[in-house]
Amino acid sequence: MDQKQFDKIVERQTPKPVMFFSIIKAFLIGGAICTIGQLITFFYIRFFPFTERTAANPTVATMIFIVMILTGTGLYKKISQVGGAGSAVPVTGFGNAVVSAAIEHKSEGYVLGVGGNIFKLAGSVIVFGVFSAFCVALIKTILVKMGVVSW
Amino acid sequence: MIKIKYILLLLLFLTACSNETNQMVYPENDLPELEQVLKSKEAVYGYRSVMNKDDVLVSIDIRRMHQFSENKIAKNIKKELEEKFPDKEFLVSNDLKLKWEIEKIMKQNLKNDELTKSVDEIKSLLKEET
Amino acid sequence: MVNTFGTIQFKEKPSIASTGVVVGPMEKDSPFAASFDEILPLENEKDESYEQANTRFIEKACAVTVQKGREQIENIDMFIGGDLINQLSPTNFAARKLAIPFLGVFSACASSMESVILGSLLIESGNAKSILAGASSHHPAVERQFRYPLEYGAQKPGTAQWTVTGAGFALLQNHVKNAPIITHATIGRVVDGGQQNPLHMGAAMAPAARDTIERHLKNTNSKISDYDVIMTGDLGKIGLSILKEMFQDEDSGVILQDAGAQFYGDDSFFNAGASGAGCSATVFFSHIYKQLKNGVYKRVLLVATGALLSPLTFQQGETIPCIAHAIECRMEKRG
Repeated sequence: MDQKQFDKIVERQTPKPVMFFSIIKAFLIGGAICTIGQLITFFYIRFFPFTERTAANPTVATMIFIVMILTGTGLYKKISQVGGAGSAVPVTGFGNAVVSAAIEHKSEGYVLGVGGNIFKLAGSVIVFGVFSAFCVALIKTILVKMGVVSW
Repeated sequence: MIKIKYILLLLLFLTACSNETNQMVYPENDLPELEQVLKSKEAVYGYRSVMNKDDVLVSIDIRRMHQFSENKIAKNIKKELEEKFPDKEFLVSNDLKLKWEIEKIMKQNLKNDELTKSVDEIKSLLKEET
Repeated sequence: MVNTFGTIQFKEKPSIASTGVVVGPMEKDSPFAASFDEILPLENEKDESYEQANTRFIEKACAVTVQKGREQIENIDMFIGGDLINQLSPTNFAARKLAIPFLGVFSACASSMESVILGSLLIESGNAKSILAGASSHHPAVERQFRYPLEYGAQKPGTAQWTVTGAGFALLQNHVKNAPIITHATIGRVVDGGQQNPLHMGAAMAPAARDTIERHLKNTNSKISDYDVIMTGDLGKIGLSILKEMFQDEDSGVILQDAGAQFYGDDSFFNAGASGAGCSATVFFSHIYKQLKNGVYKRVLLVATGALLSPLTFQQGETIPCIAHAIECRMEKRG
């Protein structure tokens, strides 16, 4: 049996995930997370001295706090098995990556374990987040200088 | 299934209470020209305004597709108003907080000192950057 | 002892005198649960790391095995074992407590059979009388080493497998009456099917399993239908159907089975089934062993499959080489 035949068998036997349902599920879960986030934003604007612009910070903090509890109780893992990208893309996915790494490496102590590994997964998000923000800012600056768009 | 039901309920709940256009100025009929300026704007479908001495707070509701340039619209309106009333100081924004605070003032019918106090509070809030 | 291209024939009839299987809480709903010796309610005790818990599972399984074999720890000549954690530390640490001569082996999930083969060879050569051999795996510890943190929400595809928390050990002794004997063993070759997906181990390991089974059949002049069951270790549901399709033998449908595919029943939570060194060890040393002892199976071929990857190699884009070790067990007529 050569490689090609084997590859064919593997392809035939491996079940294909149904893209349509995955997308719908990701949309619903991601949408639900964002709806909760929006409700929290409204809550902060209504009852605390925050404007639309300043309410984002406490909202993110609250969302991450909720995720911290969900991750600790093992619920977030179940949500993401259904939601996929829908639960990974919002800030909750980032929070989950940080918190899960921290829980995992507690056994190696607080400095080398938790401190050293807390950004094991989230580190790449930060690196590429900062880098892409830099690129976008650079492009926008050039466009503004050329007079194509304004700030 | 239960999960989906909850999501649908949430969507219904969210869509049920919106889309009422409100055009209010407080204290009433103080600046008829202000209403004219705001009504002439296509992107604006509702507004609330509070005036206290020289300060005028204007909250505007911007139509969905125009929200991409909300800051520009607010800035233009502000400029236009300032040209018409050079002696007043305007604060134009589509911020929800401003809208809700103005509604609160209207509801409680604040006067004089209380009004000045809350207007100053709103002004300092909106100036905050982060 | 006769060796023909990797297949060893044991003349001295080393036999499996007793077995001990200890599993974790996730395994209590397994169809094999009735045959397990002990099901622990927690994966790790309070203030205990997952690696320490793995060590405890091994110690417990060894204790059960020795006790069931009516032996004393001091009389065991050698302890052979393996697991999936870096530098085999759980097994090494368990050996520290057992304090008997120790050989650590690693062939990923095929460690279970590798240790049994080595043990049988030592008995065959007359250098040992009783040997403790087996393997273990611990889901949270393995998950943390090979994949993501345990609580990280990464979506698992339908091909993913769930590492078993469990340890299975066997006491190998020189021809014991009314116990299954090991007649042949085939040492696997490292086979690379060119697969790169670490979440689709079944496809990667199937060629290795096929190679070992084929060589074993050829070297022992037998065919699939001669066996009551040919059980692979942890190919999973998809890996098993790939293996079946590669054989294209009409007998392979019923006789070819997979421990990983059956381990968690049809629960879709575990996707394609179970995996890990503990998967083959716990099933072979509980369910299969009992069936052999009760005379339901007369002749079985146990093939433990292992994917020899590390988190480093698949991130560097290497394909996954795999290995499969097989032992043939027979139950002689009573009397």
